[in-house]
Amino acid sequence: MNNIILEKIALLFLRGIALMSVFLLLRGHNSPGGGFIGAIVLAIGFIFYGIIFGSDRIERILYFNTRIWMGIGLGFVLLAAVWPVFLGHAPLTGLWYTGNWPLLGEIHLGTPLIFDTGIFIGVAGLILSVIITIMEVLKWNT
Amino acid sequence: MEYIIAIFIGLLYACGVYLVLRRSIVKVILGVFVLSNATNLIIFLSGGITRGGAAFIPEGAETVDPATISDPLPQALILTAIVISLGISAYILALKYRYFDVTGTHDLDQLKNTDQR
Amino acid sequence: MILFALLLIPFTYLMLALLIKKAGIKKRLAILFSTLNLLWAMALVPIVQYREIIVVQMGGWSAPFGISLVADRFSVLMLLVTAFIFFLITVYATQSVDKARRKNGHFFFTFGILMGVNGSFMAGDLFNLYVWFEVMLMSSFILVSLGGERKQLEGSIKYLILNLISSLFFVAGIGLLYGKLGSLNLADLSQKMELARANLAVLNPALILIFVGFSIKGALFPFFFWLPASYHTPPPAVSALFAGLLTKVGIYSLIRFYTLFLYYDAGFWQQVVLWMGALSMVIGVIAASSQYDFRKILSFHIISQVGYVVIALGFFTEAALTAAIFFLVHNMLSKTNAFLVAGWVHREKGTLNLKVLGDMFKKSPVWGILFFISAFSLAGLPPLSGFFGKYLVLQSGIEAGYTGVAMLALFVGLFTLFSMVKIWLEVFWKKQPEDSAMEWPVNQKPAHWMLFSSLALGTAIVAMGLWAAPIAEYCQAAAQDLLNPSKYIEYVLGPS
Repeated sequence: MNNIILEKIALLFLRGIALMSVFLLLRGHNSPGGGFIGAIVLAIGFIFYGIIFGSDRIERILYFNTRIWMGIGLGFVLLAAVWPVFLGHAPLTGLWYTGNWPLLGEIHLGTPLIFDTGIFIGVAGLILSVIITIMEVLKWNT
Repeated sequence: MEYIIAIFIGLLYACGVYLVLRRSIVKVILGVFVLSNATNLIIFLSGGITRGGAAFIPEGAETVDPATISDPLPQALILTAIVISLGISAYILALKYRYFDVTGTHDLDQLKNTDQR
Repeated sequence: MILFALLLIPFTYLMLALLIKKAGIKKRLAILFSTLNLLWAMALVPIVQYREIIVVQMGGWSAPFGISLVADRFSVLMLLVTAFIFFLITVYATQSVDKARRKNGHFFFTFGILMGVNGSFMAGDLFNLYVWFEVMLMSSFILVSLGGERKQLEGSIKYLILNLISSLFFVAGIGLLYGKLGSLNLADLSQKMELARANLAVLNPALILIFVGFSIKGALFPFFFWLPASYHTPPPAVSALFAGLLTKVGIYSLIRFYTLFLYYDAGFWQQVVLWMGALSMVIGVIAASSQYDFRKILSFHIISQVGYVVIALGFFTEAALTAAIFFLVHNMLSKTNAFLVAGWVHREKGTLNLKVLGDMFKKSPVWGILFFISAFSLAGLPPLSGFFGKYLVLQSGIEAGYTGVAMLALFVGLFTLFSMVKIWLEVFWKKQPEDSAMEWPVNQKPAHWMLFSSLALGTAIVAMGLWAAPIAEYCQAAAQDLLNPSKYIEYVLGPS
């Protein structure tokens, strides 16, 4: 594939979508959005990219195997579940940090965000592994 | 509104059952998907329908009248059910593909080897 | 945290198995984690004796709103037996499952099943029960088809579609129940149903849907067809796991569901449960006697044995529930062990067709005796666990005034004995037919780990027969808890 306009647009699209998905992830606690939705949106970006360049290029961008990404996602979820236990709460309790940071203003961070990040990474990894496997079976990898 | 959705669910169930009873495996799989969507709608309907009331408490408000917002729980349940059906549909389609690869058929009548002695 | 750890242990394994690539390390980790799970489940037994019902509210949200994990004596017993069986099957699988399957995540998905089963035994609300069912089923779908042989794919399509439909029944029932009562917590629902006792008929559609869902999962009479069509297709270690755990989860949920909800309308449901149990018992055993495949006979026997538990549930007295719990435990152990022996036969001979097998007792008397123990425990011969299970069921049935059903159970026992004797004679005793000598690469490696698992299970079966009294006492305490749902409600929702 050497259509330069298509290539540039696909790359731009992927970046825009990635940004959008992180935005969806971060706003997820109080408004529509969240890890699952974000991951699906991210996967759409990658599918578009993969249709143009083939699944090998997706794997190159991902750097790790999708299996490892899923593992990392589960690791985040585990962290969010176990962290409160060591502080004497029930498992999965939401713990919050509120602070004033320079430039950012007042921010709230909590274990639900860690949980959601885990979901985000895990689901994105899962969908991409499904997509990559299907593309490889269909010989759509270059 | 409830009546329309209820009738619609009934229609979906009818379609799903019809498809599940077909001989082709692909149609059976599609039928299962239709049935699972109909089931999700049942859960949705069971929470009651509130027009224009998203399940959010507006910022700053301490309390909100429960009658004006919809019940968030069924929506959460449906989201879970959708995620589960995402995984299952990916898997079942892959399984069908593999089965077709091995046997070259998608006729349910050919599936009787494991039931014989 | 006490209960949560039983979910955490398999979950951690799942995470590590994704991150680690080497199959050898994964295998060792699998044994390590299943041991941990077993130790933790053992530790729960004294705790539950002391605290009666353990409740953990996830995320600190109190009961009817949050997710609660609940374990009473019955759940803890089930968790313990599950952990024991799972540990032994993991050890067994290190030798019995071939390398390609292990590389493709055999242990990963068995731990998925463990997580689902543990979760279902502890689930405190209906929707979570559904989610844990799905976790368990999703892993089992993959285990059934892993390897991709033609027979397996066929079996897995049937297994998958029928189980999906049962899940849909279950979810639709949950939706309707939520619409009517506005809650999903088991304790809260039970309380609300007691208040709405006058017009329970409104709830019947939802209850029937959920009941059908459980019966498909538990392979009861009109809904059992998926089980004998699929359980004999995967590798023996997998079918042993399924036989030991999966249908039993359905039956566990049925017992929980009956004691919390259905008994409010006992006049109707008792009849349904008794009929379904009796018919599964009879039809399972008759269908089994016409089969000529080792694992298929055992699969049909699962249906018939499940029937015993369900008729005991139908009698619904304290003695009967004691019998049901005792029988469930006995059946999990004996059935798993019978499948493990089938796995050894398959490894040695490459087939499980009774007509071509023979002379296995001469080949290895130890395995022969192990099969003898588990098979005749299933048939209910005296010093073994099955005898006491059947004895308790029959006694409670006659005491409760259902002599006909009890006599039927006795009659079914005769047929069970017939099938078991058939396997024993055909596989272990008779001379191998000369013309059926097949080419099968003889395994030179000794199967010592497989033997270890099977020996441990066999010992457990004998021990359960010899020390039946203390176990039955524990089961009785569990049955008393089951018969007294107000206690469950009080522990989960807090004192009112």
